[in-house]
Amino acid sequence: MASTLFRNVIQAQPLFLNSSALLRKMNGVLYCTMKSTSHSHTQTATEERQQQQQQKSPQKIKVPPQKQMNEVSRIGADYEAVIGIETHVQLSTLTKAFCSCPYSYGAQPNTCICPVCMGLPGALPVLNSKVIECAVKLALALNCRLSFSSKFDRKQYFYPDLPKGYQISQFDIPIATGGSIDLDLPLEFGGGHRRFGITRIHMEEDAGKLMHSGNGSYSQVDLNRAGVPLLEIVSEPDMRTGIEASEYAAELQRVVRYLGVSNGNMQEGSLRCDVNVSIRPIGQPEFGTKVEIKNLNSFSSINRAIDFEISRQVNLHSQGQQDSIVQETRLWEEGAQKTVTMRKKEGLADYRYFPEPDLPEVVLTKDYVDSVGKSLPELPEAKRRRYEEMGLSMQDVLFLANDIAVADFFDATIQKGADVKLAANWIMGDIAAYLKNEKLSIIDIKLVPHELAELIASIKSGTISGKIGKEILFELLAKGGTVKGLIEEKDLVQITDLGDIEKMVDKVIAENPKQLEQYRSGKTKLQGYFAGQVMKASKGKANPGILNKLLVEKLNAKV
Amino acid sequence: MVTGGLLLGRSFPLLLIHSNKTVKLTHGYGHCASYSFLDESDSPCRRQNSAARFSAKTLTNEEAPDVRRLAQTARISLTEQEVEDFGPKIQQVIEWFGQLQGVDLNQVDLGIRAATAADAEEGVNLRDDVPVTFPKMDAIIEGLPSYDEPYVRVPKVLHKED
Repeated sequence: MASTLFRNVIQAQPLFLNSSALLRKMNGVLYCTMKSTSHSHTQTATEERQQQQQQKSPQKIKVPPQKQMNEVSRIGADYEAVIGIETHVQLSTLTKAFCSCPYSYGAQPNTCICPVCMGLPGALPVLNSKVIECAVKLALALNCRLSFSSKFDRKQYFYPDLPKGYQISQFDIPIATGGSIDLDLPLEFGGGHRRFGITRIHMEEDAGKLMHSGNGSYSQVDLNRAGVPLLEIVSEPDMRTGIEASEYAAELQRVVRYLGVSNGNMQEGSLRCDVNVSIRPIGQPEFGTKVEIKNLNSFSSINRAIDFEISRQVNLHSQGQQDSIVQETRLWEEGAQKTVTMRKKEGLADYRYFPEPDLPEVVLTKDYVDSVGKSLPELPEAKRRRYEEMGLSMQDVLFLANDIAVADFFDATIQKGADVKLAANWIMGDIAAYLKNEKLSIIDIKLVPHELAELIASIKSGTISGKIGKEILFELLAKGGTVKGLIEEKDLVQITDLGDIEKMVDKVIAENPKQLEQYRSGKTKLQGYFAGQVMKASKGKANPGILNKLLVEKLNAKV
Repeated sequence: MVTGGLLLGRSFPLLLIHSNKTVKLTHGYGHCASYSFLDESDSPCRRQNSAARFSAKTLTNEEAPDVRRLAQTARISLTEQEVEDFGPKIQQVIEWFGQLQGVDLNQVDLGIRAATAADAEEGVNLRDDVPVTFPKMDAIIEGLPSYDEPYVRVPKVLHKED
């Protein structure tokens, strides 16, 4: 069944049809449900499309009635958006793709160069073996079919940031084709599992960095980045909404970080996405005219740009102006929050591809591929499913599996025997808060997983109270050390002896006759005051449960 | 359809021919503009199980080379006289290559590309991921026609127009 998704964030637009009622500012978010799938039955949208050929008109999803169902959103419910994404991942190898220049982001301009990456005459490219390893890792992680024989091609065009006048890429025989990626949508967007197809992955090199001077007649180029290896990942046009697209990008980031092939940073440019959006009436098998959107610098701008573009195209359709949707490249303007035409007409580029004569075939052996496969870590999707099976809530699962370092910390902690739910809570709560405050990553803290396990066990066994536990945690995070050591050093063992607590309670009650009076005359909230006093006297070590039980008895006793 | 591409060397142009491919790339959406470059009139067939052979039609039946377009894509400026003269000369070179069409390929295994000098190298032509700083970067910078420290100064070109 086709999914109808039209997320409509409308500001008053002069484009609206007739009725002045429609010109009122509408902030309603019309949110139709997405198809819900159980993971055992997940297919990619492409597979579904093939199956659905025989079916009758797809089931329309019921939309909760909105007071102001405007013209556009009504029409929007009849359209389906089709989204495809091309992603470029900059590999974090030590050297460039075809020469031994070291590359570091932020280095002084034009200081990581050599004749090969500068395209000087006589220089020849030699492929970095790490690039093939990264490509194979990613292909396996995305369930692709590997080409055991692939080649490089020259993609020829002239541009100031392209020293050779061509980019070494892979045209018709890429290293991998036909894969898929699994992800879970965040709960605040309705949750749900998705599987999107991957058309191909290929290796290529990056160009330099071109900067246009404000005033003038010239531009400036930094060639440090020229020749840096990239992997281009082309998705099947399976996404249907802005959020699906941005989550696809986020999952790619997660995967490349898990694999260690890239730091996948959109802000730094090590992860770049270009999005293609088109819409078509539901049930129509042909695609509509697609529009490419560039200049997307974050996951949220991917989301917003797509939603905007869908609205724009639906608007045009609703006014009978669908012919004004042309195949073009548009830029997303973060400030204005809209897409604008980059240039009027884009003819099909002629890159005059031909096989790169200076590079031999890329040949993979089964042994090689198997050994790379064995070296892969547990991938995010597998981790999420495993955490789910352990009984963790989806929210916990998504948090813990998001960062491989956090997941590893969690896994190590529970391996030492810690309770799963408690370990998750500590990591997601106090530890995460500490990391955020101190702007640290979990690998930087002095707390080690088996001490966290020890802490959890100590609280569970009653050796220390929960409150003391939190204090110890803070100490461990900042300075390290052991739980046992700290308990001994600071004498933190919880007082659980009934007699000892009783003595303290009696003392506190005797010392506070006025409050006792007030309590007896109805201010039962003062129990907290008494509890606080006993805690103070016991230096926080009194077991709260026993304490409060005793207090209630004693405070209410003497009549 | 044969497209010619002029590869600019420092001192002489080299004519290279890109013969038509019989591999169909992305189907359906084909949302990568560059991939739809393939001539749709070629019979689509997957490399893996193809019995594809290059078409037997003689190159002399092809349309005359569009010299102006070739010059434009190669960014070579030609005088009117040169445009007139080069057409037949280019055609001759193409025909000379066209002799290859006479070779019987029925007993030959399909390869994905022609072997070149790069394949003749001993062993696998790969390099370890070990950084080496080029020792004469200063000389490269010095050789730049126009330098705006620390950048290379270039003409302002806004779009990747062909």
